[in-house]
Amino acid sequence: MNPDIRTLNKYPILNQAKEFIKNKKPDITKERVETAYRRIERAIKKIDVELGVEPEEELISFGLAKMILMYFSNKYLLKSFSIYEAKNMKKRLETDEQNIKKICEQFSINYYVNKNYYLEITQYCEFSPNDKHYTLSRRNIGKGYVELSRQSFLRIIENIIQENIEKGVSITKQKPPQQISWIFPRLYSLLPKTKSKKISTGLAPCMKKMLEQLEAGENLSHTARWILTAYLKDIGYTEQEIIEKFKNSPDFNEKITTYHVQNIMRKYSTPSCEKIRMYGLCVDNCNCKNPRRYGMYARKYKKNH
Amino acid sequence: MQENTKKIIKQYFKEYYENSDIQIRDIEKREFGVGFFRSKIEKRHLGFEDNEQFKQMLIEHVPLYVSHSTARYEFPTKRPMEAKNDLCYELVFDIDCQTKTDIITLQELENGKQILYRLIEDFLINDFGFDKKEISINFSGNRGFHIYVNSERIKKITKKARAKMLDYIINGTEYDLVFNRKSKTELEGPSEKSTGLRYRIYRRFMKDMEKKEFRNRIYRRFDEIGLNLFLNGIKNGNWASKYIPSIEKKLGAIMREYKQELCCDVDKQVTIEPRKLIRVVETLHGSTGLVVKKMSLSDVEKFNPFDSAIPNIRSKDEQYEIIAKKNIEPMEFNKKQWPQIKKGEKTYVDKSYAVFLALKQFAEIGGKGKGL
Repeated sequence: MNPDIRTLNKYPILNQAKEFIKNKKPDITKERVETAYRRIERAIKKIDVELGVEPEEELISFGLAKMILMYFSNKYLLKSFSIYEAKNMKKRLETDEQNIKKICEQFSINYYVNKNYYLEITQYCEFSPNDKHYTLSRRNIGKGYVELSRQSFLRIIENIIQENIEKGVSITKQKPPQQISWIFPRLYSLLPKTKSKKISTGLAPCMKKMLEQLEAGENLSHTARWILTAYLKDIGYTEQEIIEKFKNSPDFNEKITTYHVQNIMRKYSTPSCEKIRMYGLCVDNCNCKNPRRYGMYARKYKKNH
Repeated sequence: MQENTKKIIKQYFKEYYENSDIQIRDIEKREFGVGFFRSKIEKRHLGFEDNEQFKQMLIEHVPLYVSHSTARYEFPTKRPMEAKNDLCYELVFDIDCQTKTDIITLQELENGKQILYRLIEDFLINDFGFDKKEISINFSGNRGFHIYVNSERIKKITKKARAKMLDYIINGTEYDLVFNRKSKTELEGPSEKSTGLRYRIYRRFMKDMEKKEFRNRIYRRFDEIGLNLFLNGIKNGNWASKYIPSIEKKLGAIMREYKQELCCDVDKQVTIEPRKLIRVVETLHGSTGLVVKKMSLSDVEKFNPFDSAIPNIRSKDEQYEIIAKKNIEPMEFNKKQWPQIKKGEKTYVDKSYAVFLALKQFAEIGGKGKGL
């Protein structure tokens, strides 16, 4: 049975939703572009909105927002949009077992439920967040399946949805159609204004990479953020300066970031290179034991070579 | 290496390839690389339409090292790598035995076999759920084993996922990865109900706790109530139900020790990077002259490379004179016990042994002789 328009509006990632828009062939009117813009704006400002006032128009706004982002070709906006939409869909799935099945079926997710959720191991490795809480060593594994709580399982579904939204928007350099290009100046106003200072070259390569990713509006894993914060603290950054660095992050939330930064500054210092390597965040063979001491090692290396 | 030695080695390899019937699955979709006396891969981005064409190349050019990609490509000979267009992958593990000398001993090989059993039985079959039929094993031709997993489940697997699986296999017992400190009185860890590596850690720890010496490492002043509290907590997954000073540090050290026995030390690059080239099955290895031998899991136990991996060719028992460049320790090779050979000494040995010693840079080969 085909899902009704309200369900499609809740989960615009479903193939039936795409088909619905395709068959409908909606006109790109000024009002619709405005609605799509507001959807993107909500993603950047992280505003929660109740669904269902005009399901059809809302569904069209999802497709149109993707189209706008395709022509606008900005990774920060796209990432923020995909994270926001995926998080919202995950929230709705929390009370909607039937559509978990549907979404898993669409993305060929191999899983079964027996009190807990059991996800096929290669899919788990493919889609689980890069976070030490999701390493295989923290999970019960057997016969090719990883045991997960419902919440952790939904977190992985969220990642799958987010990845799928991003894949569906193939950024193009083509000239945008006039019906949507008029909204672009307003989209520029959504981009983060605080461009941080040029990244210093004296930083350890792994940290430099993380900072570059943040500047490019990419999402860092929890572990990466934690390590970066501890490192910046150790090399003399203030709390406010560190928070400033995370402002470009697509899922930035000042309250949460401040809490974590304060906590890390109080309790932790930069982990060793060995640990960073273990977390899969090492990017270079810079021959030092702790990124904090990179400058010293780099000078020594330069002197000897 | 002298020209005469090189000539004899080439003859030996050529004779093997002329009589061989090497069958490579999906040969037309793989990239090949060959190496001679200078390095292991001197030419790559080569491709073959079928096994016959491949055999012709082996006979014509007689390479010492022949490798192919584990990935399948649409255009295997195109460059750069991106132009090849990846089709699917295999999952490959490379176990390199730790050796003290240039020639691997049977004891060192035995350690490699233990890692192989653990990798296949504990990780690949028990945890990852691969079928025995999907797993194949090769002797690498030198001092280790290659394990291939050819399953539908991993055909499209990305580097990111490979790295996660590998991290579990290599570093799975690291304290930081296994334990999760939730509060002062709660340290979440493996429990009785755990499965996979977590259960193996639990089982091993509980077994060790039966020994007094080990218990003392954890805490010297355990009384019966305290010990029961601690062990019951662990059974339920809480490793801090009883306060023990520096428990994190102690467990960290124990987990590092468990890594040797519960994890597998395999080459990271080979598994993570599907574009890496790996020695072709049933070819000869250019550092030993031994065959990259395919075998079943039940063959591994009795496998002795200095017997089972010697190429079965007519001239392998012919006697050749060798001049030792280093002291050569006594060893069993080709079903014969060879005595110690001192540096500078000339003696006659089987051709297969002569080739082995020459490729290991232990000797130069002189001429063919009548025998000892």
